[in-house]
Amino acid sequence: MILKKLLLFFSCLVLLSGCWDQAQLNESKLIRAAGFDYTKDGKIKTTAAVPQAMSADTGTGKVFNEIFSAKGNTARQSRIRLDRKVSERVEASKNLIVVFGEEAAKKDIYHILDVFYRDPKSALNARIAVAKGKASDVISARFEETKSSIGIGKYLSESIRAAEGASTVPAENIQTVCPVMFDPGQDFALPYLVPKKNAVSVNGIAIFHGYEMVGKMHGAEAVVFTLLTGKQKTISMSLTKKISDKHKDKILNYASIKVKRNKRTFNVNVSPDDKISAHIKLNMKVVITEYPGDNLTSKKKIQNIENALTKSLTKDANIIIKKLQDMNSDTFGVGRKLIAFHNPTWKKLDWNKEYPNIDYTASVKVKVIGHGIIE
Amino acid sequence: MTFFKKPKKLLEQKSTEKHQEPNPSARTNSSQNSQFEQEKSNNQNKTINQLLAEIEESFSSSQDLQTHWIEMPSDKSDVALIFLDSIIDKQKINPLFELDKDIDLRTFEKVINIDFRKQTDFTNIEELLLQSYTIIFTKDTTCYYSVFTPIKTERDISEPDNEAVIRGSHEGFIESMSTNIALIRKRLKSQKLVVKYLKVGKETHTNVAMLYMSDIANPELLHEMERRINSIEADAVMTPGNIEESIEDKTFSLFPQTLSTERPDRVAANLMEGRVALLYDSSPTVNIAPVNFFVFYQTPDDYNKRWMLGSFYRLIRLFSFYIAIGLPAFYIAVVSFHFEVIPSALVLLMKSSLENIPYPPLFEALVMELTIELIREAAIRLPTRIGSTIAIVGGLVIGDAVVKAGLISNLMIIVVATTAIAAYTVPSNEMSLAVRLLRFPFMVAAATFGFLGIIFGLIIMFFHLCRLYSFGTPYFAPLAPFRIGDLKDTIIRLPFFKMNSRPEDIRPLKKDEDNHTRKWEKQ
Repeated sequence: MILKKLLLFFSCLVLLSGCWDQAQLNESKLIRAAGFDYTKDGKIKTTAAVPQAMSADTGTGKVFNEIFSAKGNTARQSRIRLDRKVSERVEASKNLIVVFGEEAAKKDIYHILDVFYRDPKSALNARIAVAKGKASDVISARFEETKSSIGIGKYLSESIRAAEGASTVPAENIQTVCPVMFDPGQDFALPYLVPKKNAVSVNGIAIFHGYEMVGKMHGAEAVVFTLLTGKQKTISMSLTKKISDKHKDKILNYASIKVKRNKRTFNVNVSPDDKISAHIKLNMKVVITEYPGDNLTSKKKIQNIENALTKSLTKDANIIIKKLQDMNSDTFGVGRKLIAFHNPTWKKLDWNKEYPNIDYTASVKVKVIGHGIIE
Repeated sequence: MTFFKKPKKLLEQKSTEKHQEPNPSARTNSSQNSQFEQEKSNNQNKTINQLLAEIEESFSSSQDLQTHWIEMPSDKSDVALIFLDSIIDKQKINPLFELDKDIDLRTFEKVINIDFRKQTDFTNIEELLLQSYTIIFTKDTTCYYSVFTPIKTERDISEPDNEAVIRGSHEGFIESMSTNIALIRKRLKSQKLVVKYLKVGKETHTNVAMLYMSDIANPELLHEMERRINSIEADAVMTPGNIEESIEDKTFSLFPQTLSTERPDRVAANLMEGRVALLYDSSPTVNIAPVNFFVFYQTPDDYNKRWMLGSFYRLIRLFSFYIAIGLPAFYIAVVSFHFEVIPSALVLLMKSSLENIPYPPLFEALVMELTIELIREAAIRLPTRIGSTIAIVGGLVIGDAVVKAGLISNLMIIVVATTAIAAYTVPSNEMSLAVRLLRFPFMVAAATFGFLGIIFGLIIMFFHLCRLYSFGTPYFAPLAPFRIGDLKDTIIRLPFFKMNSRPEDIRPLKKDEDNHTRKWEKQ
């Protein structure tokens, strides 16, 4: 009898609660890339790419990108309006990338990202990027690669992943950006996309301060920037540096290296009179992957290359730090160190005003540990 | 002399002419039945005819009960033979009809050269007749003679089809209990192996033999087993399944609580662990009890492989348990509730395969699973020659047509096929059936509550497994209660010389094997 009652009780508990959140895969539209822009009247425009497989028979069939967009006063409102425009339920849980238009990024990205942090189903591992111009242009552009097989979301995401591998951009996603974004002592940088005619180029990084984008860096600068973040090692962290001006034949002036090991020492000191100084020291072990000048067997030659690289990279690093100070973006987290180790000083000062003026330098030491498979 | 009380079929014997006319007094017996019943206790007063009539009465004049008269050449007295025509070997009694003049009944034994016994207990004549004995009455009605004359109706010993092994013995049980016991004795040449005969079924008198090792099996277990078997009061016990259901602890459970096998080596190994084997008359199936869940996942093959391989395949089999009960459910839960868990690279592929399926995943899965079961069932019933046709038709219908027609998705086919294969890896047919049935509630649970439903299903299933007992021993041992020592031969299989103790859940009298299995030391 008791068993029957219990059974009844539990079945009521389970069946009558009315929580039935079935969401069938074949009745959903999966957003794979989302773009956010501000319209002129201050509304948010969401652009979503929903790839549809053309043939149901095999998975290798062509993918057709359906692009939808909707406007709203907030990100969520625009999502809801988007949902109304589309036949099936729109699901963002398999989203791969969130793209901000440059204008939107310069305003405040948290206002838009907020919706991602509140939804338990949102894809927190989606990458974030800033696009030159409007995000909707990047999302709805028909690039060469997206024509044939992969959706735009996958295309953009893979492009950024390749760039992360090459250390031209820092690896960030919605989740990793969140704590840094809220941290007063630290800022972050995001990949910067430039749409070209046939392809998108992951061209550099967008530097943020707080919630706003404050500047950008390109190409080789971005690599050194990534090195300065203390990234250990990657698939290929390659640099080609000019190491001398002596040779007439220009190609002989360059050496390409691959960073094998990168050790960062980051010191933040506060003098008794509250003067803050920060210093980043990089110890790099590199392999020479290209040196047309050859004769790498001689120790002296290697020494010369090491010295030249050390000098040139140190110069680059200091330029980058200067730039960051000018933009007032504390991407390496000097403020974080102050909060942690020099809290009284931190409490006294207004970091936003103080940061551009601190004594902030970097030095790089390069050691060649290999020169490829030929002697 | 041959005398047919109810002539049915002439015996093809030369003796027919040799003997004289039947004794006419025998014909008068039927009218005197009532009188004989009163006198049953006193057989000395009865004539042979009266005795014969009595037997005939108890067999309701069954026409295969036949009586033959022989005149003894020595003293010209009449001797009556009575037997059940259908179950005796007439070749064996032939010599009786060709007796020389100087031979009397006492020398019968030498003539027949088979089990020949003088009996005085008249109460079990019927039973002896049913056990293929020929009964001989002489003029001295205080006793009778019984000759064991069974007809050989056995098939040859062959490998059981549903328990084949790659290496190891290829012998299997047959329908003869004595042969089956012989097969076990052959493997356990020990005086500690005890055979105990029991009878069940008030009408069928099915013989059940209980085999155990007297020095290992727990006496409490033996007592309980015997009590349960003896308490079966049914008229007819036709199959081992009847007995199984009558003695098992929980009939309302999907899980088999006795292990059915047709392999003598499996039985022998289990007897040595302290379990009890039940053999039945005219059934090649032997039941082993008590068992735990993991016994169903052991096969004799495991012990003929290298131990690491044996362990690997045992793990695969246990893993297949989860696949068989959970894979369709998991698939349903994923595509109808939690497609967030599908890896990014796979999601479009899955979506494109599912896109145009008109039914909800549960319906899709049920249709396919039931189709597989249909094919399976049909394949068992059909003769082998048509069976292959079914395989082709079924394979084509399932594999190709349904997908092309857009009724079922590609992925569903993969899921269903994997599940079906996984269910067949279970070495025991009963467990395989249980597992196959179990996945349906799991599918429904998954379609209703997603992963939550599966988890609830698993919780309930494990509750049940933990609560289940087989003859007083925990069914889910050695996991619940957890005994790390017994894992050596359940989830994995350690080398033979590591197995120096018996599983504890059966509570064997001798926990440790007497000798350590490997005595030499490495130098």
